[in-house]
Amino acid sequence: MTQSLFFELLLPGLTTGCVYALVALGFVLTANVANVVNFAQGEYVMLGGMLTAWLYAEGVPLWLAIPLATVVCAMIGAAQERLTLAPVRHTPQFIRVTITLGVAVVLRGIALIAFGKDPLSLPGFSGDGAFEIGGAVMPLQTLWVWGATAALLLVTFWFLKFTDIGRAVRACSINLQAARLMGVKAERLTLLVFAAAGGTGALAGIVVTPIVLSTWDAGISYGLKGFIGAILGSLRSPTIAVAGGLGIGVIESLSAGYISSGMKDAIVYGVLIVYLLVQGGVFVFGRATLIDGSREQ
Amino acid sequence: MSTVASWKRPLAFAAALVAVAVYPLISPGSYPIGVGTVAGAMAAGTVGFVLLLGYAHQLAFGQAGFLMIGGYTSAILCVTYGWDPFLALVVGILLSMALAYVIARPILKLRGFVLAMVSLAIQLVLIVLALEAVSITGGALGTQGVPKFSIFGLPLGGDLVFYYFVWVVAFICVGIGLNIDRSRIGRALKAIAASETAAGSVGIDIVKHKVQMFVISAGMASVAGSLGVHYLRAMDPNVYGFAYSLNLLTAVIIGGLTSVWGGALGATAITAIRELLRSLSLPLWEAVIMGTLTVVVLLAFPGGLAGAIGALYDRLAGRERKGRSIAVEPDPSALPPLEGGPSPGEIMLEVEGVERAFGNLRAVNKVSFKVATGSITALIGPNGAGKTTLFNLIGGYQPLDDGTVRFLGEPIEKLLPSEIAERGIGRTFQNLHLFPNMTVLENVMCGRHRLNSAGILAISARLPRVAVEEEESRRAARAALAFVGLQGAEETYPTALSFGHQRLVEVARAMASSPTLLLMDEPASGLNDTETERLAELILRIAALGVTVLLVEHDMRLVMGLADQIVVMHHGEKIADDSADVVRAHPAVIAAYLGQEAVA
Repeated sequence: MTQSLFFELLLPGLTTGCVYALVALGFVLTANVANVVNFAQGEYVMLGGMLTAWLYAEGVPLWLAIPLATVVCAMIGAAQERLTLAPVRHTPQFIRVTITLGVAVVLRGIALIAFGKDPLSLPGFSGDGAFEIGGAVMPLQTLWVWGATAALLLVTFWFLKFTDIGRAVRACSINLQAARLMGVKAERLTLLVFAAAGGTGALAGIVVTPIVLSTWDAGISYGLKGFIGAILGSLRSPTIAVAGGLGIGVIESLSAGYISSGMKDAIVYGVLIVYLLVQGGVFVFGRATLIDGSREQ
Repeated sequence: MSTVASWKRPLAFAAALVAVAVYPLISPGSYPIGVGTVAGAMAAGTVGFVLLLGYAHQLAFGQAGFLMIGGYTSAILCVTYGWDPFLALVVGILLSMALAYVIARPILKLRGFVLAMVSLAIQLVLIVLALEAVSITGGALGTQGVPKFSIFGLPLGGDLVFYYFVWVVAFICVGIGLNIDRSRIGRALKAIAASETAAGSVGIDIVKHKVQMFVISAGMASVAGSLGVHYLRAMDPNVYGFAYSLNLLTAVIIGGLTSVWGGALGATAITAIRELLRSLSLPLWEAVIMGTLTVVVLLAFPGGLAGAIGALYDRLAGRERKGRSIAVEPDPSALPPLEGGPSPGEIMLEVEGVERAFGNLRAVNKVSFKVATGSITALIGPNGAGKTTLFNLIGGYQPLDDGTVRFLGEPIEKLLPSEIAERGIGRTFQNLHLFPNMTVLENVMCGRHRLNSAGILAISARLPRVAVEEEESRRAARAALAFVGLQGAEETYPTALSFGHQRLVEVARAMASSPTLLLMDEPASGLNDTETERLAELILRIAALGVTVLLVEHDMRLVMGLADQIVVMHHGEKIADDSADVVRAHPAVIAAYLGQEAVA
């Protein structure tokens, strides 16, 4: 009994964790290449889900609605970079970050006006059946979420490891200045990374919509939790970011089940705050604190 | 300062007072006055936020969380416990400031976006707590029946009086903000925003001032939250939700991030926009419009409304001052000779067995040397010898792996740059670290930071001694500029000066702090021959004041002509340490500079 309850909490946690993991990955890639934390990251998850659900409701078949919504979100991601960040590449970083928050607000607002206040849904991609693991019954769509996430992660890591562009992205994350001097065109990479982050975010949003529905204001929560995952890896390591995202999903689900569903957000954010307090220097004194942030903004 | 410029501040205050006083006469009726009250409360809440975001560049995206604390404290204490509204407001302020301090003290040690995320997370936690703690907060339904505002049982009277009261509070907040703006703390905030490295070098305690602003902004936000609740007469989790945080952010951005007035202007503008949308029945568009305004203003008009009004005033008043001639003839008697301190020849700085490795590279390997009081000591060596690393270890910018550094007999190897500057060690940088967001005079006044003591409370109230201290700082900064030969450049911005003059501003800034020891990192780099000659004269004048000088330098002519003692480094190790003549003939030095063959 207790064991099946555990699985009933763990597995959905892994499912939402998949979304956080992909968002976290987006955070790490954009932070390293564009040197900006993109607060609109979570909004692409929301937009992907909303757009697909809306297209489907309008009669567009699923196999067409999914790629359509993904491409639109990738294009919005690219447009965000080109229109709102490229023109202010040399302004102080806090202004650039604030701009991304403004963009996030606009995307939320547009979703509210275009799709309305009510949650939208999609049918499971392979029907509304279920399967059982360890006494826990999960909707079949869960497998789609896990599979899609695994596939996206594989493609991303393969891309980073084995292609020239991927190596350039990694070079930027190690030393942006040196990468530029070596001829890496950071401007083009930035555009690419924003488009990719928009597209993968959207795909994550699409595959979970049959399970968790999609609402106009869901983006902020996806964004924040993905960010927590990303910051566990100091916004540097894609691997830790992904693991962090999955972990946050599991913690959230377990605390909702074992403690209180109303308090789950408070617990997750509380964990973040405590983690940052500890990591941020409650136990660190003197010059060591200068090292971590030695990259002048 | 010209008379036109000195009128700017009182004129702005007078204009704002008139606007606030006249508004209820133009648009009477309880609804418009209510709208004005809401704007006033928001204005009070934005002042601290402008200082935090616009001056110190610290992002806090969940600022409405502190309005929630103020709002709930007022609502719960007044409704459930029957407290006096004024007392409840004060308790709210104290709670908000205490929470802000506890959170900010560790978080603000980290740079970057952590505060942004944490403040947002805190607000979301507060919303969850407000929803869940039904027995205390009333949950989603909230707390109803909040009384009208009164002070110790003394009712304020009707809506109109409350409107004026709220705006008086807002003006008090603006006044505090303006007092901070034109003080050593205001300059410290701008310095931190421009370059934390340079801010540390003049003794500015970076974490302390960031925390101060976060705490002050939390207190002011709390006031706004309490006042708003006494207007609404109810409090629930949606009143100061995420949307309100965004509105605050949009307000300070539209209003202008570089002026304390920006908050009040922006709060008024935001309230007007919201009312317009409401009258057009387009409330759903609020988010899109606020977000778009944020992005567009940041992209195209970074000064916001306050910036635009200020620029207009300057144009009308004909205050376009440009290209005033700069006196290049320095005045050696402008600065007084150094008083106190050890007598010449005694050991001032002692570096002993200092080590620093980066991975397998021993950048500085067991280096020891002494600097005598009153001397000019040069640290030289080929590129990559470890000179700058050693300099950073002495200045506090990197931790040592091993060894000690003693200044006037006291160990300083564990201290932070600001603490080292505090003890009287000045510093200039190889790549200039000036503050482009301040005038030349203000840049140099930053050098006085460590010598002044006015605290945040005295500054907020602008006590008479603060004004005296400011005047003294201004005088000393002018003297330091005269000493390096930059009279007339006071009101220009550093970026308008030539590279050589910018370097002189840095020297003036360091000298304004009356250092006992001056560290100069490659002061001649980027200078032409004439400028290098002038620099040599300047360094001699500095030494003539009794200031001990330690410099890292490439320019051999400069070093050989100036230095009493030369320390030579190669591959992280000290290879020679003697007078110029001895070092010049030292075989190891020749080998290091010219190659082994040159010695043979």
